[in-house]
Amino acid sequence: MNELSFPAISSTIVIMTPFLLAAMGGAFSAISGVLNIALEGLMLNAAFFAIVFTNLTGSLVLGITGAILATLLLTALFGAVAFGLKANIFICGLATNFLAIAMSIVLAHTFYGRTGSIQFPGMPRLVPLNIPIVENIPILGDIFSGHNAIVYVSWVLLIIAAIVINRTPFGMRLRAVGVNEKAAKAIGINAKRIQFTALLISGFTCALGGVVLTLTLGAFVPNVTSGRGWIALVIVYLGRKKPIGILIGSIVFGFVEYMSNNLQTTSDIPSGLLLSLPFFATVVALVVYSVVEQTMAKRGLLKTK
Amino acid sequence: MEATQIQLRTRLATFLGILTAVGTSLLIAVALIFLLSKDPTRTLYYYFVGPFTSKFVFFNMIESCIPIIFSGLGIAVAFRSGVTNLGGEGQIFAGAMTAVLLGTWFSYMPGFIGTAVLLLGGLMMGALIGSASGLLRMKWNVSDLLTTYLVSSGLVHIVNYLILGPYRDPAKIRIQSVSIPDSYMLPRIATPSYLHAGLFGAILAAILVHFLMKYTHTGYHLRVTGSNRQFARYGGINIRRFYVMPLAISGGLIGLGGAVQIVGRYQSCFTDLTAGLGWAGIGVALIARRNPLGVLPAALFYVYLQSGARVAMMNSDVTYEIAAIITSVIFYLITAEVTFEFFRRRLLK
Repeated sequence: MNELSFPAISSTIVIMTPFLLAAMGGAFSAISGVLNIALEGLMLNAAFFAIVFTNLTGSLVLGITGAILATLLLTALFGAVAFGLKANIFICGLATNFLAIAMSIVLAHTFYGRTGSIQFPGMPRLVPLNIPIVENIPILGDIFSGHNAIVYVSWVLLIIAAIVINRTPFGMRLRAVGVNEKAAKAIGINAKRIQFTALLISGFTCALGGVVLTLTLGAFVPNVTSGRGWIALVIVYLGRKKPIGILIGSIVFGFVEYMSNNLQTTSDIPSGLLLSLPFFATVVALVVYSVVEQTMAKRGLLKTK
Repeated sequence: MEATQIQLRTRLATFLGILTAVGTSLLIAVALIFLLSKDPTRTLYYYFVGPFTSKFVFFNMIESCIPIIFSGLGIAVAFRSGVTNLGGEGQIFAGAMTAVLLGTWFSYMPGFIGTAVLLLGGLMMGALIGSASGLLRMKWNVSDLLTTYLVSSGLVHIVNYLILGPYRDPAKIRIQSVSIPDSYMLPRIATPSYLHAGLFGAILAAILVHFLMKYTHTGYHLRVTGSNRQFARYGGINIRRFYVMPLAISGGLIGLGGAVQIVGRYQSCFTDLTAGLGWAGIGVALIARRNPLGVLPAALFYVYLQSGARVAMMNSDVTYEIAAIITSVIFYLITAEVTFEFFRRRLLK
């Protein structure tokens, strides 16, 4: 990193990654007409298993793979109950959030005999990768260099998500089911299967989002997700379920969290109050969005959704 | 089949559906204990029989029902009225803290007036928080599901700040807020356990909510808007009001539950006071199928699972959180239409 670096930019990019990943998966679900409120729990699940498997195997790749598989399994359980047993998907989402928390504590107790934070000295971590040449360019260097591998993966995934949603038969069916489930069924689309797949996709991206949280830290702390999954849900909504909207939303909320973290060390404002900032900022964002949308709709500036 | 018999059988089907969910969760509890414990029979004994082995443990279990009854009632009203309240945690916490603040600011009132003021304060605070989300929904159509959760999470941090900062009691070793006067505390009714007179308040609240929902005009409007907003509008009900009112009642009941925790049990506020009580309310309301009177037995069952886990943790080798796994199983199954349909089909041929 050179002297002309902008920590605000590079930190925001790292902080926004869990938002971006979780919201991306949440968007797939939302487009198919399913509100996935389990983003929080799915991330937490992956955050926990990333530490378990990385410690077990000593390998980051295997650790991340294990975390993804464990989270896909939990997502499949969620989907099986919701679609198979016709349970209320929203309550099942809550159940998934609770199960993830409970499981992390019970398993930590079983495996390691403790329930607080879990840390292993010498365990491999995700490290920042510096990209030659680019790293020396001001601003661009902060944006494109010095992040861990998952950050770059999240960008690639965002592009893939945009293509899948807009340019593939699967994306077409996904949107059709979301717009009108009955009509989609009538033309022979298996709506439940599409929604289940979308749910699994959100399980996969949430897993990556959770992995970033603990593998950069090298430790699992209870409630490490601290509401990020919920804020990601808001980002899905504010970003109108569109990849570009989700990117913008993630940048905004990443920056809010960066400010909140930063003020904790640089200002006299008590940290308790600053911790509440992202939540209230999110409420304000929801209101502003809605007011703008309503005014535009009144003036006929907005195409109907 | 006669109409009354159909009604009876539908109810029986619903009951059997609930029983299936609850029974499955208990089976999973047994399976988990066999999986996790080195001495499963001992753990099983403490888990399922433990809560009944001493008066102390038993009455404490009843005591832990009290806040869950309040939050369960709050959630039941919200669900019945077609709104969502995911802010229970923050509402309980803010209600409790409001009671503490009022109790320390106005510490020279006669005992029972003081108690009433504190309880009213908690109720008003909860109602205020709930109606804020209701207003956002009414005016700008902002999702109540999201704002109740977000506002609550923000508030939890603020109350934590008050406890750790300006209102911390420096004389205590444990981190806790300043305490309210002894004279404001509700009487204990089964010493040496913590069970207090708040239990009667909780039962009374359940009866009142039942009466409100079933026999009043307001309750009727709440239920109609809850089951079908469009229909309610055609029926001449001003549906916009019915975003704010149910969330105010819901938040009020839950905030009141927080205040009861202070005047009944703890006397001061601390950072873990809520510990999932708000979420428990959702589980309880669902087990009770949103029926206010059903909240009472549902809350009892819910705390039975938890105190069983607590006794098992103290006397054996499992951790308390297995209760959380078991309750999440209930959450998964309690709305599973397949089981309810199965029994309905069997009973209503």
